[in-house]
Amino acid sequence: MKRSLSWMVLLVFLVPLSVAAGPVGFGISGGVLVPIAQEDQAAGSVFGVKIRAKLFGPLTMEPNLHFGSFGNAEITGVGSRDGSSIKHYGIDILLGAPVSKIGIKPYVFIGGGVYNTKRDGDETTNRSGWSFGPGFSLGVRPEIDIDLKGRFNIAGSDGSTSKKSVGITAGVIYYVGR
Amino acid sequence: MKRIRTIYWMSLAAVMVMLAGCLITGTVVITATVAPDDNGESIIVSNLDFSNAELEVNLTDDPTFAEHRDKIKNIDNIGFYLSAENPLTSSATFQLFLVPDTSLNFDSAQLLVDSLAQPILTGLTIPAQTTVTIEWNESMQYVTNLAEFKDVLQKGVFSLYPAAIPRDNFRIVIDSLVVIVTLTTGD
Repeated sequence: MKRSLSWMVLLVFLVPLSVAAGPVGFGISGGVLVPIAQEDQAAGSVFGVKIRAKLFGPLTMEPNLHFGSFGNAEITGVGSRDGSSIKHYGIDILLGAPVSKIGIKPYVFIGGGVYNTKRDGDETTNRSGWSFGPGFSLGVRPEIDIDLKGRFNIAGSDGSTSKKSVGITAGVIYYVGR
Repeated sequence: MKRIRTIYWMSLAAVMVMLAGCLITGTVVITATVAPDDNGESIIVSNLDFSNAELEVNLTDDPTFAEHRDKIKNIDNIGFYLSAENPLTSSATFQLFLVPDTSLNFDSAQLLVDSLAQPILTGLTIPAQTTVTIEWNESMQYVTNLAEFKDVLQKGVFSLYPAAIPRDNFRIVIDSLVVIVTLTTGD
């Protein structure tokens, strides 16, 4: 299971690169992960790695891998419950984030991927999901972007329901190639 | 550049509309205090006296459950807060049985088990002459048969019966018992 997951992550990262045109950016990011309408979770943290490359026209693609964990939910009188940990990998398509250019570059994105959710006492789930949100990159040098991104996650769950969260991350992208 | 900016703002507006649509489902946590009883008394069950064992739970008394009752999509989990004492000189394994029919009566723990009732919580060892307290998170490791009880939990009315092993020699004083149900609702 772990092996097939590793292969899928590798494919998610490598296949899009084969169609990339121009410079390729390698980025890291970190920030907060906030549950939306989930009383059994509290705010936690998220870290990720990504690759950004021009697709065509104004579109940019961004294969990404995130590791997040929600905080413990607390109810007075009954104690707390550990938050879930989430591993997410997928591809985002960005509109308005030109690669390797100096300046302020606002963008919106939509993405799809797999959400792996774990928590003691719950079944571990691997469900598809999607995400969207705004962001902006600040190109301080042709090869360096500072990136701020808001990601609204909608991950599939049991009973045809979904679990939602917002990730707000800041990071750096370093471009190589011309 | 102007065209991209227009597309950007239109996309952002579309995202906000989608966001609003997605917020109609959510996960809520319902709690129901079962013990102490309405008079503030602890619940005592034993192999000799099982008459007070039935603890009726009515989640519909909770305004949040009542509000979402017809929109429940999934019972995500059940947990407990429990504080229980074993006053005897030998240890006991505590269990909580869930019985959907609230009109039944059992004269002993053995008759309860013989009726093919299933535990929702099992495996908690209470040493001799000791009070054990388990909170929400810790209780998850003792929860069992959740899949079988999801429909019952969704209806919101059921009975819990505390019991212990050995069946022929136990006495448990339950100072506190709270049922914690996590569920997902939506239209």
